[in-house]
Amino acid sequence: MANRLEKIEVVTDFKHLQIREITGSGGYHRRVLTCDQTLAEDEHQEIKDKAKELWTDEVKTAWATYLAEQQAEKQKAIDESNEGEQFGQSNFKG
Amino acid sequence: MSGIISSSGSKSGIIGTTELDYEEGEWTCTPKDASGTASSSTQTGKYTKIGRQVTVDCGKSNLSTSNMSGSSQLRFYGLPYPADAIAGGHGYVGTMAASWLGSMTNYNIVPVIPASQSYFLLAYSWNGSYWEYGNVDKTVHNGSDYQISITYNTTS
Repeated sequence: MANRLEKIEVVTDFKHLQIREITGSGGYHRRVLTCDQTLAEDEHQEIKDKAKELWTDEVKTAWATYLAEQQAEKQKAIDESNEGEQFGQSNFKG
Repeated sequence: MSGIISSSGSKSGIIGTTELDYEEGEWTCTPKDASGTASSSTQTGKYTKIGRQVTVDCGKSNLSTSNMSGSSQLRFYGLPYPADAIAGGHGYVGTMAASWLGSMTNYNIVPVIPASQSYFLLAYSWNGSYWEYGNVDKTVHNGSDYQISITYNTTS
């Protein structure tokens, strides 16, 4: 990792790791890691440790459930849109 | 807003009684297929955050899709903040300019960030009435260009 790790923030109920780093030019660089991601081998050790601590099976299950619910909500929106009653010819295929 | 914003970094200000944070910096846009295989075509973009509102931009020419699954959904990872949860099923929609995106040429294309996610994908329509999310095989290996801008809300 070329950037210097500055801070790790834990956001959302699903323990997303919101990372802020300092670039070589002194500016900020940001990224977000979610519990369904595989961390790179050269990831900062502090991030690896935080992920290991927070990304429990319970958190991973909750995130997977949330994603499934989001997919179901999207499908519902698609189905309603395809009925064409509210949006005319507007359709969305997920 | 009171206060001065004169250089990169975090600032704060006040509108009425609401204190806002301000930050600008860089993020790295990394195209991946849905199984996580990454493109070598990473690109640094810029972000600006004011309060909960985040604006990101990024662009890349000659997108490489080597080793990525053509039938898999094309996603662009690396957003600086996760999107907030948003009702309605699809997410936050941005704007996009594209050239020679394979079979999406001449289509209407918009970038979409799903709720709570830190990637965007491409929704396209070939006739203005029926939308789909683009797979990797909708692009041309080493031949597709894109330029996006998205404004969305994050959690805090």
